[in-house]
Amino acid sequence: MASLLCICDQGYRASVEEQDDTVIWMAHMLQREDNTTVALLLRGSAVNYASRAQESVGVTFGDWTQEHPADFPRDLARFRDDGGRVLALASDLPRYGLTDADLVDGVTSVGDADVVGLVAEHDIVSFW
Amino acid sequence: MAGYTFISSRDPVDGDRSVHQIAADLAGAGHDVALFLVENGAFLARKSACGDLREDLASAGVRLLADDFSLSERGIVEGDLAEGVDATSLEVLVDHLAEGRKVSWH
Amino acid sequence: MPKKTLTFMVMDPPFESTRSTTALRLMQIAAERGYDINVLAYEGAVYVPFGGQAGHPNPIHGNDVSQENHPLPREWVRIIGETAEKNSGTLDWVNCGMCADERGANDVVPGVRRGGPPALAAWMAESDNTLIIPTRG
Repeated sequence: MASLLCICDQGYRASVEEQDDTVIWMAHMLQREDNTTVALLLRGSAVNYASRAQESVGVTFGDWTQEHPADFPRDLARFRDDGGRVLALASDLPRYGLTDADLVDGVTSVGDADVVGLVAEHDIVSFW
Repeated sequence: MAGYTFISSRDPVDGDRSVHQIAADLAGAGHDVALFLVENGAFLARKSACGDLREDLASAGVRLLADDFSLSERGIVEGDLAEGVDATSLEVLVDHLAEGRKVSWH
Repeated sequence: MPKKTLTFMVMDPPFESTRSTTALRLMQIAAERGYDINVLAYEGAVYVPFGGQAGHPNPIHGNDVSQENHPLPREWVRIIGETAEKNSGTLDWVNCGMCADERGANDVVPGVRRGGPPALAAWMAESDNTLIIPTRG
């Protein structure tokens, strides 16, 4: 059994072409495995992934229209449904113009001082 | 617990210093913590730059190691290397992985 | 030196960032020690063992193709595998299949196989250590 902490600070990197965030996707795929538990800590621009105000918008090129654009609130909810933890760094919320009230359900705000504890309690720590 | 090694690859001059803070906090709490500087993270090893950050890390008890290849690439050699930074090789990083330290890339 | 099993996850394509080079340098050291090395190549890193990589001349350097001797990371992957084997270790390089498909990167050097996150999960539980080397946008 391995516990993984994914600290994600890059939001909206390649998310149009991939139709998701590839870090959230990987975290979710690993969480689905019997031998892994994953916590996702959102910080920096990725903290906005927890905002309920996001719109799932796709691109168009000529006649081509994107049918399944990324939907981060949906993806975070599905990750949580499979047992994943979603955390947001509280000190980054106001920096990105957000409050706890702006966040989707199930996201836990954590303080800067809590990060060290999270690092200590997980077997593998990754910064994405 | 075998200790923590944070691989710092990002520019500390105008970049994200969050891993430096995590390293200092863990060391301050009594853990064995090393910060291994690679790529542009190696600028922290130049004695004429980032003195304040190095001081904070040293007083917290964080060991500073730097990849000699990254140092040479940037001309941070001999008299330019900050006191308290050990120029070493990636062999040490593989040692840390083999020893079971918690190693994270930033 | 006791044998160890190390797992790496890499995300960077070649020729874009030093991270891909540093990752391969670490793997080479592990191979020289005869370690068993597992690699999950995610996203653009599926191009690291891409068989279609080719050298080119460099007009700024004044070199033709052979003079420039341009690094080809696919060769480094091959060398890492050979080094590991020579030292009684192994290299198990897995390209994320979906990432390879969307990038058309299925022409790979011998020894590279397709797979995905389940391989990483198994390795994370079984290896002596795991290092995830993320990309930056």
